[in-house]
Amino acid sequence: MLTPLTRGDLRIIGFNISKVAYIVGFLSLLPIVMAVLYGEFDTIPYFLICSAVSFLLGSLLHHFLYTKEEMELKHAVVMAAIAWLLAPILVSIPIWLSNFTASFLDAAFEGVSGFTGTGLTLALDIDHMSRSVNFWRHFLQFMGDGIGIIVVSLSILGRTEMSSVLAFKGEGKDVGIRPSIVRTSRIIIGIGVVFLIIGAAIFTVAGVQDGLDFGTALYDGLNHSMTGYATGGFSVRSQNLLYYHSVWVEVAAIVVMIFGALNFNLHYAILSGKKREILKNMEVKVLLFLLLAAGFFISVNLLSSNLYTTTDALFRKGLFHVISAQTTTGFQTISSVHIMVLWPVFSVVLLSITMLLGGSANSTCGGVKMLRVGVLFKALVNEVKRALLPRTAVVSGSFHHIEDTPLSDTIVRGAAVIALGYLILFSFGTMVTVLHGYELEEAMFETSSALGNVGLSSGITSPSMPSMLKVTYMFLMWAGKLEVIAVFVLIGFIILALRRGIK
Amino acid sequence: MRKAAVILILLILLLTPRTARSEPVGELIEDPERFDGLQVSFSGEVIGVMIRGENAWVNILDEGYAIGIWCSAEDAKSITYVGDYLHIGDYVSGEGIYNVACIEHDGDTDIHASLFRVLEIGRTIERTTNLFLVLASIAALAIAVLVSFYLWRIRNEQKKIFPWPSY
Repeated sequence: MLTPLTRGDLRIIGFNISKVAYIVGFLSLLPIVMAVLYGEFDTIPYFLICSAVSFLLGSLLHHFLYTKEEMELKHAVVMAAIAWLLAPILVSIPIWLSNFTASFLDAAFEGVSGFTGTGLTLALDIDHMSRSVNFWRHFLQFMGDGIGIIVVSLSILGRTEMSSVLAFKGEGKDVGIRPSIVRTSRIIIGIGVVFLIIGAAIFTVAGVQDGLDFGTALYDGLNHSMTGYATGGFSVRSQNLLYYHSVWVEVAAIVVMIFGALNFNLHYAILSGKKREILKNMEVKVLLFLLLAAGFFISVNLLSSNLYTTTDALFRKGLFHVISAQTTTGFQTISSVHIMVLWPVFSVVLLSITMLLGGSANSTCGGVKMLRVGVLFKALVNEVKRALLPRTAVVSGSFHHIEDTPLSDTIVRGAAVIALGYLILFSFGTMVTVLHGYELEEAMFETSSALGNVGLSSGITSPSMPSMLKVTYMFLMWAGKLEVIAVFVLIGFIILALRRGIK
Repeated sequence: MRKAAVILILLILLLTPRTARSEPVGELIEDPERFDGLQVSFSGEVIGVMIRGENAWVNILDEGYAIGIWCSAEDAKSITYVGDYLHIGDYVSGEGIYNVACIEHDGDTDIHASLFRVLEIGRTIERTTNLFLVLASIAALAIAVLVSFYLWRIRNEQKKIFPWPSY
């Protein structure tokens, strides 16, 4: 029998959320360094207020909900769902106070989009935004999606490792890099910081090579490295990467996006000397296959439409956007409007599917994830084999992901349930968008982008879009980040609480 | 006399180079097929300059829409201010060919300028600190610190009276 959450359960959840508030309060002091560096002293109060509110909330939750009870899986799932809502609201305070959004709803949208690593934006006049607030937007993607701050905060401030392990599961991730969660968190942060430095360096070199002054190249490079690795897609420029008109910047972006799209376990295996893992890993094979297949079909389609007629143009416009979509990053080198107006429908639909499928599991990517796509494909092949072979024949399968794993019914069912959840939310988002008067094609594109935490836009996402649609996309970004299941669990608990009350 | 005047006007109209369409950047972006390959005029605030050999990219912003202008490096060097948080960039205008997917630049949307001029030099913006926000931030910080400290003390007192069981 299903049991609703008790007051004790809520206490455990609230107490663990207090740690997330503390970490947000601490990290929101970091942009003050940027403000001082660039002489933007007027922006300092924005971050102080955000920090104060977060610390205050953390203290209140910590005191009034203090408990020594350990988290169980149900707590972790609900905690993750609530924390991924609360943290974006807290981090949106500086964005709202800076007046670079039209309303608090838009600032909250920016916070959710940033924290979930989506990259859809409602910010106004990005080209004149202060460097400290702009840095904050990018840093949100890095800490929210890049290093998974909610789990990290529990591993740093949590009493035992169990809470962090469960929080990983709550977010739909598997823990498996190292047995120790603190060690795992350190490794994840370490990998993130190393790639951040590498990314910032190559973006800076590319920027200087193509005419930017060193200071601008470094600032832009640092921010794009953060959002590229987090597969977030925010940019310091309203034109996104088109601003640079540079093949080198785009190549740098591709390198960083692919780093971010690979499984943390794979990064760790390679860093531990298992270099052949990259050739054997099923997830890498599926990712590469889909990238090449989508890149090929979209390039042929764009070529036949006579829009881009050279190989270089097909690489920089076709393949670049396929990589951006598949890795769920959202960097763009063409205007949002032009994807809808100029690209053939086939390419738009294929790009939408690519966004929904996403990158690797246990990475910074959104979407259904390659591991599940691979598992489902193998299961499909097995079913076909079963139908063709005699009844007595035994059909079994396995896949290689860090280690050889048998293709069990449990694994297939888990992948199928999550894929189904994505399909349900995709249909819901598309219908809501169409009901607001948008074309089906652009509705599918924007919904895939929000649900897959991508950030490519068909032009629907703008400050003038209906508030209801803003809320819908915030919900989709949040649900996509939590890999759907946590949302359904939370909804289930809310329904139970409404029907039976909280005891 | 009248005939001669009409002929003169017609001659002037025929001999004068075709005048550029004056279109906001927003219309060029939103309705790309209508203007593709045509001579257009542009104007906007400079938000980026990147010199590339004898040429340069100058990104301009016009009512929320931005586009790259491909012009001579000499023209780009005449720009004094680039727009950002602390500056309003130079206001420039000019004429050129609009390309939705420029063949020379691997599909970038751009304008190849044949005429480029700085209409107004930009300036530094004085950003004044909002006194109310400064006071609010100090008050918020003070409240956060005091409340946290107070709650921490209460918890410590409670621990002394009713120590939590250790697991």
